[in-house]
Amino acid sequence: MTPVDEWLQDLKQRGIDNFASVGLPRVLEEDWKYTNIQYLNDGEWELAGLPSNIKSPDWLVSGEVIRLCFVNGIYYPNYSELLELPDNNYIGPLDKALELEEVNVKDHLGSLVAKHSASITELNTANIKDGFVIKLSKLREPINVEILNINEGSDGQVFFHPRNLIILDSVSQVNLVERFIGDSNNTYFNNSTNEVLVQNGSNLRLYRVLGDGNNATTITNTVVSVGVESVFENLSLSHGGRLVRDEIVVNLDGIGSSAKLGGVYLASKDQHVDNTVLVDHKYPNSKSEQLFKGALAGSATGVFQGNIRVGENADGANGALTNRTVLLSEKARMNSKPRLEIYADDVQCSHGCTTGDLDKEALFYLRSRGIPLAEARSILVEGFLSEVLEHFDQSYITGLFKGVFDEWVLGV
Amino acid sequence: MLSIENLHVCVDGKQILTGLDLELKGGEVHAIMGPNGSGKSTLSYVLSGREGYEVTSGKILYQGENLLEMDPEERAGKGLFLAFQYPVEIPGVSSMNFLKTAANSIRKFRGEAEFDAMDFVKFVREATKKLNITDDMLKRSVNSGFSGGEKKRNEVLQMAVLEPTLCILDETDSGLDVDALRVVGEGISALKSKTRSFLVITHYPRILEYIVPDRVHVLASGKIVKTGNNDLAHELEKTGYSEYMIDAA
Ligand SMILES: Nc1ncnc2c1ncn2[C@@H]1O[C@H](COP(=O)(O)OP(=O)(O)O)[C@@H](O)[C@H]1O
Ligand SMILES: [Mg+2]
Repeated sequence: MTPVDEWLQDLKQRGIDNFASVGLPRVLEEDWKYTNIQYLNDGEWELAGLPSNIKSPDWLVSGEVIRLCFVNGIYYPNYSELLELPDNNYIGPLDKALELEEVNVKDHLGSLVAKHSASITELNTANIKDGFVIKLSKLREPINVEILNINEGSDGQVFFHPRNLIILDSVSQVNLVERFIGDSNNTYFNNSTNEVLVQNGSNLRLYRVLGDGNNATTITNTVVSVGVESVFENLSLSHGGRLVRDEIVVNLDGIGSSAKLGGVYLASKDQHVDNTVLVDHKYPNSKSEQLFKGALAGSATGVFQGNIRVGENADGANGALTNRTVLLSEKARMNSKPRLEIYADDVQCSHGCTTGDLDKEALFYLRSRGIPLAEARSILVEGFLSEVLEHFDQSYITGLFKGVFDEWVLGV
Repeated sequence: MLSIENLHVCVDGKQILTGLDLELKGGEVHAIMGPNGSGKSTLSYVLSGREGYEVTSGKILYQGENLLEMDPEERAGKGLFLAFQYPVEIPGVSSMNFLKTAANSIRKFRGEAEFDAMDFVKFVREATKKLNITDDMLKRSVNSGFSGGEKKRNEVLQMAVLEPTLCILDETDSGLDVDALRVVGEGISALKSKTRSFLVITHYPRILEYIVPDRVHVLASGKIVKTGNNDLAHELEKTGYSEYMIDAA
């Protein structure tokens, strides 16, 4: 066994032990009050394997782009396209990164989540198998990366635990699209964890599309440290799965660091969608924005827990948080819980959360122009959600959203 | 075209219209004037099918059919158009897309071919030029952040694009300065035709110079209390409505 293998073994063992002592989170825990995943304790879960026949995937981003394809959590090189990068830079699968001394996964993997230890990320650590690693330094040119996580051809109850590491240093820029898609006939649990370090004038734009199959449980944890004059952006579009929990923890760990977090969620039938965000301002003049909007139909339930914490050293911090939801049926429910925790004096923080029906006057206005009820509703919901997309203004995401939305709205 | 008989309407349990009669023929222009709160907008909403307006008795026939049984979109499809007193702001929905969707919905309803994007742009250009509506306005969200005058011009634009048979204008002239009034007035005037009817709700006779009414009605306390010709509009401007308000009490 190589030293790296041993180190990984240890890390996983710690994950196994830590998870065993606490188990899956319960609704008694404050953070999990509105989201119950105890049903995952029913029956056995097995790590998924590769199916024999894998359909060629549809990629979203065109032009010069690095593509990594994962099937049931396992790296699938046949459909991936890597590019040659200058020395000491790496974008590729985790297992290969572990072999490269200069990538030095060992020093980073596990260190960020350790500070925000949660049983669900321990479970991920316990099962580390595959994932991607991005490590860039001094690459001024923006790099485009698309990651596709596909579930296909799995039997019984399977789970997979993608574990990803992103380190951007010294004015590096990455646009990263991460998509989850899966077969609605399959029962699976996708528990993915991202550890992200963006520092010294670097910029990461993360676009995530959570579109797992109807019987899937999707839990993602993204733990980020943003350094001096660096920017972390995240836009999540959540529409798939039986239950989705998208949790983001951002530490603003440098002067002038900033985070811009957005989300659009669509849920219908019995779906449950949870966006949980913590932004921790630890340094002066750090900035953060949270803008999450969604539409709930059928008897869907939604959760938004948005937290801004401003530490005592973070004078000049600026944090804003907005969550708005439209309910398209009487049975749909939303729990929206903003929280500000401020320990510094000179800060600007605001929050606004609303949940309500579609604007009746606007609906009448459209219908009075001849637009049929169903279409009028769809136009209003799309208009309502578009604010988030415009805020991020990324054409391929807007295009994808349009397709996802049009299909979703037909089913509600 | 439109025949209203003994119309009684309740809003939130309050009786607003109390036996209103009106007969509007194809190609005719009728003005409705009256004090604030007399039920003018209520009438316009009942005609266009807004929720929350309970017809407790009376009937409305539109082109010989029972109007009250139709959804708002069906009424629009059959040619009824209301220019709102207070046009609604719809953030996130571009004016151009809105117009196109509306125009195509109505064409579909009538069994006509829908516009393609290019044809529609050309078609709209014609109308926007006359109404001083800039491309920028069309790109913006429907009525969002529009000034009062812009909103009213936008209502007239929609009317021009949707080519209705019955136009109901609810104080489309209110709050406009002289120049804006001329643009709106000329816009409306250009839509006059032998078959198109207008119901013009207004406080002032000045709009009636652009669209001269065949009949002028005074609506007070929920019913038509007086009907006359265009002279009545000018009389009312001088005397005001106090006479009718005392009657009501
Ligand atoms: N949604 C409503 N709920 C309760 N009362 C209303 C509502 N809309 C209008 N009213 C009342 O109905 C009456 C007539 O209003 P309206 O039709 O708007 O008058 P006008 O347009 O002639 O000024 C007024 O007394 C007004 O307060
Ligand atoms: Mg009125």
